[in-house]
Amino acid sequence: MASLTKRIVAGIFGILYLTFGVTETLSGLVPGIAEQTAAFMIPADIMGGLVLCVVAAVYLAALYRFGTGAGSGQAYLYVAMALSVIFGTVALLSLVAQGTDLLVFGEEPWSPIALLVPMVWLAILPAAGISVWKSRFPGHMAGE
Amino acid sequence: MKDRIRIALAGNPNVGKSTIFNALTGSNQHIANWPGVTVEKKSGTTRLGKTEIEIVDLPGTYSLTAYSIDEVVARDYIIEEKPDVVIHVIDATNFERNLYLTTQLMELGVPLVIALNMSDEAEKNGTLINRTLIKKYFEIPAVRTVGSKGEGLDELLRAALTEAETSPHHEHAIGYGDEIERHIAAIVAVLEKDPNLASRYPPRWLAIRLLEGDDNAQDKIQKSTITAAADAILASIDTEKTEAAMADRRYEVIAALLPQVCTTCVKEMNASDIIDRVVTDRWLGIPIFLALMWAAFELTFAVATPFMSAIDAVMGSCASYVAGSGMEPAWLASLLGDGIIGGLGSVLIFIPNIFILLFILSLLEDSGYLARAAFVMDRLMYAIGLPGKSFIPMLIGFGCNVPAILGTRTIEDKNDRLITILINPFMSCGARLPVYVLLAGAFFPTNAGTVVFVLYVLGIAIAIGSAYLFRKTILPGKPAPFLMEMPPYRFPTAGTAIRHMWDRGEMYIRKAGGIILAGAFIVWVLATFPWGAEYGSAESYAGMIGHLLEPLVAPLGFDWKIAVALLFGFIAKEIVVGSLGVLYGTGEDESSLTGALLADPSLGPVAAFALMAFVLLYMPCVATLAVIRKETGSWKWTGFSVAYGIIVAYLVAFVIVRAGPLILGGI
Repeated sequence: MASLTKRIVAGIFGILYLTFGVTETLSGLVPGIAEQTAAFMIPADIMGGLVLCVVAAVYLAALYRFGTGAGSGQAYLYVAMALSVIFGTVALLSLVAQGTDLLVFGEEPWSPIALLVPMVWLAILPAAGISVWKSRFPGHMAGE
Repeated sequence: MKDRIRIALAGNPNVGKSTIFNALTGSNQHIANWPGVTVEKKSGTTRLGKTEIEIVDLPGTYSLTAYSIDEVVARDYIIEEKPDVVIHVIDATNFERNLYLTTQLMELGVPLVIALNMSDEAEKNGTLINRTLIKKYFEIPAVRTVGSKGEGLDELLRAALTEAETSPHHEHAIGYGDEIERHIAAIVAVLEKDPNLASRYPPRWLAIRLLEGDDNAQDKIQKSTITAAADAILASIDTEKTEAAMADRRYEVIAALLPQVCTTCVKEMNASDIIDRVVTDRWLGIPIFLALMWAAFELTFAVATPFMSAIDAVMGSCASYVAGSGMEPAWLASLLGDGIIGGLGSVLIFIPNIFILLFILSLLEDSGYLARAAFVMDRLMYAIGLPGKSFIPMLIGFGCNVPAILGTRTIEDKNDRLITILINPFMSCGARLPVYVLLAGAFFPTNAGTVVFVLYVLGIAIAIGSAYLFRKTILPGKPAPFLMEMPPYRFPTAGTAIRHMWDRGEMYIRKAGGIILAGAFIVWVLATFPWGAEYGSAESYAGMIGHLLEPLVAPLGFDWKIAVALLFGFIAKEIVVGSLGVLYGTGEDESSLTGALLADPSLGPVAAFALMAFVLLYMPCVATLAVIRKETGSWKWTGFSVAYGIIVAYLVAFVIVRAGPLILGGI
């Protein structure tokens, strides 16, 4: 991965995670916002929002380290992507389980559209990135 | 040639010191309890030519910083007893890590010989250490040894003998930079004014120890004439910062020398090093840990839901069948339906939650992450007066407090260990999960996972606060810094994680079939009799006991039914849910119990949260109490654990009940 590409990936995902994290947290905290954010499939979830902010912090730490030349930027980027995938998987499994429960035992309708929360779809590109770049990461990281 | 010399074997733990000791001394060894210490040192004798050699095997230690009793024993032996030679046994397969102790031994200025032990394994791994260059750069002779095969031991003794007869010895000094060197020079100048002190301890070494804030070194100068002068200099220096700077400098020296003597020892960073940079980051480490723990509870709650629904449906059908079978006598139908199936069903329904949580914790443990979690928490633990080692039993406590308390045996200091034991019941074990799942699911249906996570964090916070309180009051002392080896990261296998999950989770099933079944039976008896009273009503024995206790829990917003459930929770926390099922007359049916709880006017989200906090904190279960008694050897501390837990639970629940409506707008 070229250095510029790494910076762009770290920057874009840092901002995306931070934006959605803050929005989810505020939706959970401030009455009235949740109805508006729900239209964009953003849940009113304080803890989920804070978790997105933590992932954002790791991406932005990677960006900062790329910028200062302090090294280890790629390590932070790799771990941030891994965290994206972990939390995306957790969110996906949770939503699938809730959907299964509703479909089998519940009385309310459920649609797979419910799976499209930020924590899930934000993980798609990092998952692809890890699978594409995984063979190149360790060697490059040590040399930074 | 000397007739008799004394050699001390020093080195990190598990580097093969005892193997070398046994190979050298054979049957001559004996184990002695040395005066003033609790740690065993072994001594034995051997001969080389006409020289009789006494060999002392010192406790394994990673450094001579003297934080733990092992380090004090090893260091004081070298300083006070002044052996003729110190043999530093190094694990050649892990050469770099062992060199930190080498730098400290060099600073002591003692005659030193390095034994490159396990050299056969190192060579097999492609590690080539140049002994000639070690002699050139470190000015210390190095000998290739394989203790298990007895290889190189004669050469080692000859090198030690030669070193013992070499005089004078070159003193090794690491340069610490201008600022620190100025401090060292100032303290050395003061120390040299006391001839007695200067003759007993190398002044530069003692100055370095004092600059590192070493309490043991402080003790050494306390009765000296220069105490006030030395203290005056030290008072103007940030010893914590200086200690870190000096450790950094030693690592720089190691990093500079390592490639000179062992080119193959300079390893490229591997994946574990890369991940560790981030997950042990000073600022991000704890948030990442908390985020992962939240994910564990979110997953536990969500994925278990369909399984719970399935168990609920099966148990509900069984109970309906028994209840509708027209079985005679009626009390037997009630016992089977309400008591046995109801009591068991209300506990079995939570098996998916417990097993999923244990599975996730096993995955985290097997991946190597939990060791990092202990590391990132070390700073916080140290700040509250506990060693980082204490966090590992706390993590184990998420599964069950019994093995967690047994796990405190690895903590050497008595007060550290006692504090860790006393705070462990605040770590939310799996048995409390059913209560959270029931109440959080009923009163916080959209944020149940988050509520459960908050309860776990509350448990950690109360544990940490209590540790701080104990340290400042009844159990004073200073914790030992945490030193642990990080296992490499690896992808956990499902098979291993399932096995670990089963090992820990089967206890819950056994409890369900034993103590919980018995508890359910007792609750049924109390709810059924006197015969003729309405089942679970205020006229039953359970109702009478509950009304007796109600005034105690009324300030917390709990009624007599909850008082009875909490009373039976003393036996095992799982019984709380079964008891509620019996007392609300809903038996095994979780959805009915949820409905009954929601319909209870005395319970709202705030009271439910207060109840969950009370169950989290109020007292250890019987099994945990038994192990606290066994491990502390004291009824006093066991009683203290019970009383303290109840008081803390009461206060926390009271604050929640009083402050909750203000925060949540009166819900």
